[in-house]
Amino acid sequence: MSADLTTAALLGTDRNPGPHPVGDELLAAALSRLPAREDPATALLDVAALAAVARRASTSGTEAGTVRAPAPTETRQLCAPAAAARLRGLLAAGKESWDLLELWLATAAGNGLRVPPGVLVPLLDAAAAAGDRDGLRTAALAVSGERGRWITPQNPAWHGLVAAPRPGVDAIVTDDDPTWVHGTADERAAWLSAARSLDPAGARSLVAGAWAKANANERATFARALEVGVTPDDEELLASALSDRSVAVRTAAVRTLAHLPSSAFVRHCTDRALACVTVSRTLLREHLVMELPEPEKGDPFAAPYSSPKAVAVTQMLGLPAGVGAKADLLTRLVEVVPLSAWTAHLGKEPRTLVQLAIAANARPLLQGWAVATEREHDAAWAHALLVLVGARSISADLARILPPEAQLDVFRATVSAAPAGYEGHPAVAAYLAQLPAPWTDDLTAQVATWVGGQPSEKSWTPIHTSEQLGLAAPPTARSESVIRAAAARAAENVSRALTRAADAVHQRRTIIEELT
Amino acid sequence: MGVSEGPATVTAVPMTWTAEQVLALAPDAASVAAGRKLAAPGPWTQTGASDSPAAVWGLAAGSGKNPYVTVVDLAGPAFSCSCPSRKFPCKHALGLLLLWSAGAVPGASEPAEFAATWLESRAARAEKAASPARTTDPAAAAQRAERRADRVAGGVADLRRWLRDQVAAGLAGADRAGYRPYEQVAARLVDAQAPGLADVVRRLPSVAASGEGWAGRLLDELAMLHVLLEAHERVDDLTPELAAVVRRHVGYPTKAEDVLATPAVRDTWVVLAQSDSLEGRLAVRRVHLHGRATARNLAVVSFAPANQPLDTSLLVGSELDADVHTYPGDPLRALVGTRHADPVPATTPPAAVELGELARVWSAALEVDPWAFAVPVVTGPVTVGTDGGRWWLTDGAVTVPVAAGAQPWSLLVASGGDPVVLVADQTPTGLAPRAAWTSDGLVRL
Repeated sequence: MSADLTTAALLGTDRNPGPHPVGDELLAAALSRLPAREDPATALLDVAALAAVARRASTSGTEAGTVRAPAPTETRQLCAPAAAARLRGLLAAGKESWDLLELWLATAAGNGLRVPPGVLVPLLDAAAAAGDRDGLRTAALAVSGERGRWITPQNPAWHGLVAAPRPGVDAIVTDDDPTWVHGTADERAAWLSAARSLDPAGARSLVAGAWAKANANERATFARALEVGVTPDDEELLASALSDRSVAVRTAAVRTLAHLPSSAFVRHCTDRALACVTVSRTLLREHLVMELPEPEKGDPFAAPYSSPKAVAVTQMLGLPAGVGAKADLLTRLVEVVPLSAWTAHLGKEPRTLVQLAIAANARPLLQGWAVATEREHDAAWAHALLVLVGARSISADLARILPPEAQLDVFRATVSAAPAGYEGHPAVAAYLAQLPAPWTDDLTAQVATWVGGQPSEKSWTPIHTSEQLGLAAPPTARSESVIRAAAARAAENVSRALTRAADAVHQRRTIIEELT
Repeated sequence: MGVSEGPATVTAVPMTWTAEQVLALAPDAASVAAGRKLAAPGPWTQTGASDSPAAVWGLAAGSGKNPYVTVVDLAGPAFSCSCPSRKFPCKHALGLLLLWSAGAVPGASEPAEFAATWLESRAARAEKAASPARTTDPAAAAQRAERRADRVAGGVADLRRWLRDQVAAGLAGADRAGYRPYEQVAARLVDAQAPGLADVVRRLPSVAASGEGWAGRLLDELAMLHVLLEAHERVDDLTPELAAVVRRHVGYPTKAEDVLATPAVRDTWVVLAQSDSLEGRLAVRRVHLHGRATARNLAVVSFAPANQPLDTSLLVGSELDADVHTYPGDPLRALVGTRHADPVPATTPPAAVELGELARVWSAALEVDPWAFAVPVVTGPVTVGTDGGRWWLTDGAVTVPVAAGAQPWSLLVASGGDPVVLVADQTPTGLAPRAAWTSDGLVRL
């Protein structure tokens, strides 16, 4: 619409009756054939109508921009139509199906398949929405094939899908790398880890050179970064960090040094810790006797015992001042001690040691061992601690270290140790959540039976555990029928949750079959 | 608008439906997912399917003590389920149909008892509706038509006055006026039995609120409305074709039987695209038909109240030998009449016109219907391109814009940068892509 005419219409013909020029010969000729109007408003509408009809009829061309070269030919094999149809369904279901979606994508990616182009837009949208799920994102990119790699850079909404490039590290680590010099704290930390795995000595001398000028946060980052490929050559630098002003730096240095059993610090901690613990025999029973260590000048550990709250608790319990602090010190020492030192020193298997520690109520030992077990990934210790102490009181993370054959044993122990009623469920759920999928058949059957035996009240826990079951049970006909059988025996509310779990197992099995 | 129309096509009940046909019934994506979940044997008992009456039934385990009773009348299709869902069809009906389409529902000679009651009541109602044969009294019909014409004339006169007053008083401030003033005008037009004009007026506030450059666009809309009203004043002097177009835009209804009474165009019709949208409380489905011999492109438009299933009789990617009839007031809109054979998959691409031809196609369509806003076309081969904001289609010689607001990422992905045959609607602002024929065959967008 011409600007003059629009202005006239905005103003109104009451104020500006016109006449309004048409400004185009063809339109003017057409207008002259229309009957004359007395009413200025109608006359303006006539002119506007001619212009509108003319403008509608003229389809305008446009300029082409630069076009990307066509996508390369696909190398991966296309997935079957049934599998693609299932993928569409999963994508349509949204967030609640992300677990199954990830399974679909990972299976397809692992089998070297790709998806048809028609499903790429919802797939890439979903992957962008599930940005923090790295597994889903990477698998989505893999199955999207050449077409996916071709389209992703063209849509700004999908730019985040391509992982941010890790800070590049040249073969030779130098202190003038741009990331090292100008990067943010996170970028520097990532760069340093990469540099460290590539050139341990170079990264160490870089850290040593930068140490004096670095602030406390940076020094803590340095101490943590040295954990990558730590060797006795790092001991000197780390040992000096043990007397740092900042407790965060000292804690990081302790953690990293713990990976060096030969270091003077670890050996000294070991001597002090072992000296506190003996096993004595009275009549037919063995007892573990735990004494508390004396603090030493230069202990690098954090001092939570000095907090007003800790002091108050100590006083409330009627303990002599400093007992809490000494127990805490023992925990810190035990954390650093290599696990093998305990079995050698006391001549017992992990399971026996844990039993004795529980009988003696030696919490500092149990807590310290849990930390050492996580560091050393020791399956036997993880098994002993989880079975005897329980996932909730120790650390559910240890479940990840468990060998498959121990999963059921720990589950039984966790269930029987859990308080009756619903308070116990979170401990079970926390344990199960850490177990790698798929679970063993035995564990699957036991969990199904346990969930099926729960009373049918309004509670999320059996439902939550059922969801875990549906996603982690082996995707086989056998586990599906085991869960359905449990559902048939269960109370109403729980039965529904178990049926959903069985359906999920069914769906996982179908997903895998359709992609094979 | 065709809300009052009866069923457009009388088709034999298909023996089995594909999963795609079942899922096309779903009111939304969440229902598709929920339906798929229920398409496993787990929750179902006492399922069955019979040919006469054509029905599927079953009991679905739900959250209550009693299972839900789900029955589908395939001829309608119509759905009955005892679940409390307000979605229509509900996930149970979808799940049951998916199960059935996968061949996992056993056949039966007659419906189970729990299904028979509802199916019989439906049959009885259908009979009742059909029995009082509509005795058309020509005199009474003419009287009704005259009464209607009078009411419409009253509404049109009011609207002309209102339109004139808008321009006389000036449009300034219309961008901040909101919906209310227009809504009153539209309500008056509905009373005057001119729903087409009411729709035009209801679109105005969103044009007025469309930001930078709104005044020009609003004046455009008002001007086209002015043309319509002037044409309606002289509707008896126009050619019968143009008069029919004007009447349709004003909102005179077209009866399906009148459409089916027009001369049939028999051809092998390819179903190339289907796009659904919401217009107020109505779901609208637009299906693109392309004639193999005639190379005509037509749109089959159907309506359904929100949450009700839309017509699923035309499956995208199939082609069928059938009679097609066009609307007297809308020569690009069609109804499918007699089908001469069952649909088969379409395997060869449709005939396409060059991009440079589209200007002629568009102006020819405007000659018949100056208010047309979507003309179905098949064009190509074309390459689609974007710089992230602007979209265009080019064949090297001619470049045209993609319709305003469209972001055809799925077209770009489907093409992979190679030229494709494009199934689209030509609109006043450019081409709105609906489907593409690529080296992989037909791709829905």
